[in-house]
Amino acid sequence: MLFGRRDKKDAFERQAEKVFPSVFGTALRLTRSREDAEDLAQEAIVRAYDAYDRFDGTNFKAWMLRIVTNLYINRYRQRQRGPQLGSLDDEGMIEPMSIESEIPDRVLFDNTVGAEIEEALAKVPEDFRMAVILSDIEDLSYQEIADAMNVPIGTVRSRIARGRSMLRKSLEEYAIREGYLREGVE
Amino acid sequence: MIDLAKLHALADGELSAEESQLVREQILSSEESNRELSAIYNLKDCVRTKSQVFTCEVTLAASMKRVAELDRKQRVDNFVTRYAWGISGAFLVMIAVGGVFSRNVNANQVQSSEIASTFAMVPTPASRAAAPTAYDHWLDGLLQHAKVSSDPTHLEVRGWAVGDLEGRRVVKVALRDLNGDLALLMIPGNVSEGMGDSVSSGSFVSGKINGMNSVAKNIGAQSIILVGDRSYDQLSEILSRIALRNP
Repeated sequence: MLFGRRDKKDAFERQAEKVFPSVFGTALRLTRSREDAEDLAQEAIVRAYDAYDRFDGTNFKAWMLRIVTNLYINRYRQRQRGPQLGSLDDEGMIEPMSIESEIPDRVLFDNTVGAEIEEALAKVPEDFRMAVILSDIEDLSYQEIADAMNVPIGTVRSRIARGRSMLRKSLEEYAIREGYLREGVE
Repeated sequence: MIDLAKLHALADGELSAEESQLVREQILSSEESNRELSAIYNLKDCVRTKSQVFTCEVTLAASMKRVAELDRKQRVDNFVTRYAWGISGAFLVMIAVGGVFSRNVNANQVQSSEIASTFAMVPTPASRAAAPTAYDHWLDGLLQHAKVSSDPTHLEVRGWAVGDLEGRRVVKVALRDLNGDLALLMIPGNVSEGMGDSVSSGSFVSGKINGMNSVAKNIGAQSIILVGDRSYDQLSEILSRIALRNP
C-alpha cells in the first residue's frame, strides 16, 4: 500500500511538471496578476493531487485546466470582477474578422509579437478570453472546454467565435497605435 | 455568408464529417466565407505560435512541497483509519494485562501513595462523645488497650472512621495522649514495602506520610500505621503498646 502511494505521488509529479507551464500560463492569463496566478496554480496542483484517485486517466492537461478554471471561477473571479470584466451576452452577434478589416492578415500577424498577443488577449472579456485560451493556446476540444467552464457546448462555440473576433480587433488597434501597420499596408 | 460559429468549428475540427463536407461545399461558392475561414486559421496560428510560454520554478517547487505534505498526511490518515481497531484493541489488551499483573503481584502490598490518599479519603473520625455503637464495641474489642487507654495519661481513643481503599476496608482511629493527637490507620495487607524512603528497624518501618512521621508494623494480615508529630522512636514506643486482639 505504501509503495502504491509512492508510485501514485511519483506519477502525479511527473505529469504535473509536464503540464505546469499550461497551468501557470492559464492562471496568469485568467487572473492577469502574477501573485494571484501563483496562488491559483499552487492551489490547483494541491486540489488535483487530492482528487488524483478520481482522474480517469485520459487527458491530464485537460483535467488540470478544468481544475484551474473551476477554481478561478469559484474563487478569483468573484473577487476580481470589475465593471468591464463581466461576461457579455453569449447570444450576441458574431462579427466576421475579415470583411471589415482594412489590414491584411499577413501584415498584422507577421508584425505581432508574443507580448502584444498577451496584451490583446487581456483586453478580451474573461468568458471569451477563457474560451480562446483553452482552445487556441491549450488546444482543448470544445467538449473539454465546456466541461472546464461548466457551460453547454453551443455556448463554447459562440464564445470562441466572438472571442477570436474581439482578439483580432484588439490586435489591430494595438498595431495601429504602435504605427507599424501603416508601413505594412503601404 | 455561412454561419460564423460553424466556420470557427470547422477550423477547430469540431464538426462531424458530414457537416464538414457540407460547409466546405458552401465555402466554395462564397468568397466571403472563404476569406473568413482563412482569417480564422491565420489568427489561430498566430496565437498558437506566438503566445508566450510562462513558467515559474518557485511556484512549481512550492506546489510539489505541498503535495508531499498532503501525501504524508494522507498516508498517516490511511494508516490510522485502516488499523484504528487494531491499535485500540492492542492498547486495551495491554491495559487489561497490566491490570491483572498488577493485581496479582501487588495484591498484598499497599503503596505509599495509596496510604497518603487514604488519609484524605477516610472521613474525619466521629466524636467519641456520641453514644457508643456496636462498631465502637467492635473497635474497643479490636484494640487491646482501648479500655486502658481511656486513662488520659496514656492513650485515649477519641473517634474512628471507616473508608475504602480499592475494595479493602480501612479504619482510621483518632488517638490522643498527653503530648497531643495521633492517627492510627489499619489497612489489610502488607505496607512494609509501600512507604517511600522508609527505614526498617526491627518489626517497625518508619517513614513520612503527608509530611508527618509515621511508623508501621504488620500484625497478621493487617498493617497498622501510627502517624503523628513525634519522633520515630516515640511513635514506635506508642505503637509497640498497641496490639490487635483478632488480627
